[in-house]
Amino acid sequence: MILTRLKSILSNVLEIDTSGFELSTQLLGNIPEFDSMAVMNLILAIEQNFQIEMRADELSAELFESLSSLSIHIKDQIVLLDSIEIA
Amino acid sequence: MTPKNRFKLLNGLSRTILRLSKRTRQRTISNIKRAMPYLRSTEAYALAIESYACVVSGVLDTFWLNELEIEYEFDQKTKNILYSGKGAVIATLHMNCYETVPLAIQQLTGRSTTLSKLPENFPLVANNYQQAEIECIDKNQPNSLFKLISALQKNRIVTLHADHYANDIEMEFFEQKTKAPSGAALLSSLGNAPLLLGYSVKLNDARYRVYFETISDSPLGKDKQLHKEYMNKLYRRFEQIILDFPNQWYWSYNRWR
Repeated sequence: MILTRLKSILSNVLEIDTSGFELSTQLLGNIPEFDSMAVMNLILAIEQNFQIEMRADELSAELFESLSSLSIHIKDQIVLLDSIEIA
Repeated sequence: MTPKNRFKLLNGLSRTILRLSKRTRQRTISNIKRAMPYLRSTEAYALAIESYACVVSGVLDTFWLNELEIEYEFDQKTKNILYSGKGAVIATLHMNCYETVPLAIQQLTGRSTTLSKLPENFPLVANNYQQAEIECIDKNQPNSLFKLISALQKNRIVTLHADHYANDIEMEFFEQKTKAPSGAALLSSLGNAPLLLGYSVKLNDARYRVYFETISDSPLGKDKQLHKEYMNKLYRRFEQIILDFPNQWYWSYNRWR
């Protein structure tokens, strides 16, 4: 579910076809459209879509390395938020 | 070679280059007339020569960074930000020796980082920064944005050029529609740091005065409209600075495309 939504976000932000993207798809440094503005737009879209915050100390090249790294981070943030709400 | 002799040599050389390079000359004069349409052709030509010589000698001064004499000017609010020990983003423009801004920051705080295209086959450029103890992040690397964010997280002060052409946002510059980079605003937002303006004025041969101003004393939020507003604010200041010191800006650059 996260992967599907993330692929859709990437498609909108980068204006490319992401239908063939998988968890292993490499992002930063491998997609020409993935520049600084794209990173900014992606962060805004992820925050809005998943209702999470991406803090400055979390942002790194490794986070945006692949769909897998991004998906894992988003999942961890959602789990963290859920656990805070339950508590 | 002394700074005085460097400038003398370059003054003559610049005149020759501009005389021989029709395209550069025409673009320089055309850009000057965009900003100052009231100038007569002879005045625009004289300014073209003078500013070209200034920037060329400024570029050469980059190879003698540690020998340059730098003075600083800032108000109390800006001083507090610079000396807070925390990260900050400084937007600057291409005037005279444009590395004097990160150099001034290094001298003031010891925490200067900048971004530049480091040519692979010309390590001398990277060496200049190293000798001045300025951390220089290579713009050619795909992870440069994250290295800049990391620098801010480590409480470094990052200087970025912001007056060149880039496809990020639409902008008016001297009342002409063009596009501009939004890196400075973006970095303030993502790196959680205040946004300042820094620019350098050449006083004489190897003396520069570097001015710092506060554009936003708190980080810009994650709002693209806000980024555009602040970049607009910066560009209005750029225009004023360039008109105050027209003989020191990089008019020959293909800014309006």
